[in-house]
Amino acid sequence: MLIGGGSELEDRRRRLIEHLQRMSDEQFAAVVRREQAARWRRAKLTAHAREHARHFAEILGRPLTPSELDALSQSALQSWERLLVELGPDGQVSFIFVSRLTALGDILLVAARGGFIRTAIPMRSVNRWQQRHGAAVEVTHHAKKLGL
Amino acid sequence: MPRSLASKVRVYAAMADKLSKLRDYLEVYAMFDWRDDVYEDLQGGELLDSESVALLEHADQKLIEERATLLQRFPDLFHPDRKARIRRECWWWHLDEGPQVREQARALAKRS
Repeated sequence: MLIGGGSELEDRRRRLIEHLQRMSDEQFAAVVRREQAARWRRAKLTAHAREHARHFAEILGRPLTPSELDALSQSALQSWERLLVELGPDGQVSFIFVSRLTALGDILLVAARGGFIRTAIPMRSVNRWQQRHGAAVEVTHHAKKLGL
Repeated sequence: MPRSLASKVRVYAAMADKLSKLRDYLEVYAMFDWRDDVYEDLQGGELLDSESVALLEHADQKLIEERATLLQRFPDLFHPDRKARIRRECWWWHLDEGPQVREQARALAKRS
């Protein structure tokens, strides 16, 4: 979905909140479910596994094959701990599913948009990420309340 | 058990090595997030062995060398509203201002 222009982070965040507030619970749930069913584009999955092999290997002890990365991403879309929505600079809304990746405090962010996975990337702190981002909104409570 | 600082440096360095291949700005965010974590550990008094120091230096240098690519592909990373909330010591978030930001950050760190 595309939301109109503007470039200031606070303005982006405000417009995103307004957009979310206009959605009924049913509409919100339908969009989240669609993104939970998101899939990798095949070529992107293969390239992502190859290009991120070294740091996945450092984090997980070995690199991930494309099918393992696919399975990990799908799992994160279903078993997430936190859910955030971002309005990107391109005006596109993405849902970002955050799950625990290791017992060492690493987390995995899986970003989905329009039924496709944008990326799956390990990070350290979702709070810091949210603070840095400035235009992301957390919807964890709302989504959990709806049983998503 | 938390992840060791040396391991965080290795993750950051692996991501920096692939910087030109990063397709999504969230991936650059992630790389910067690992660098933030390294910074915070160092600020907290943790020490790096010489091998990790060299690896961190190499990865930081990679960021400096690739700054034009970052700016061109992910200009929103350096949005003024975002930068205003991030301390100058975290120079990687201020790379749009030029390669000198790393040295300026080092000078700031020495003064504090």
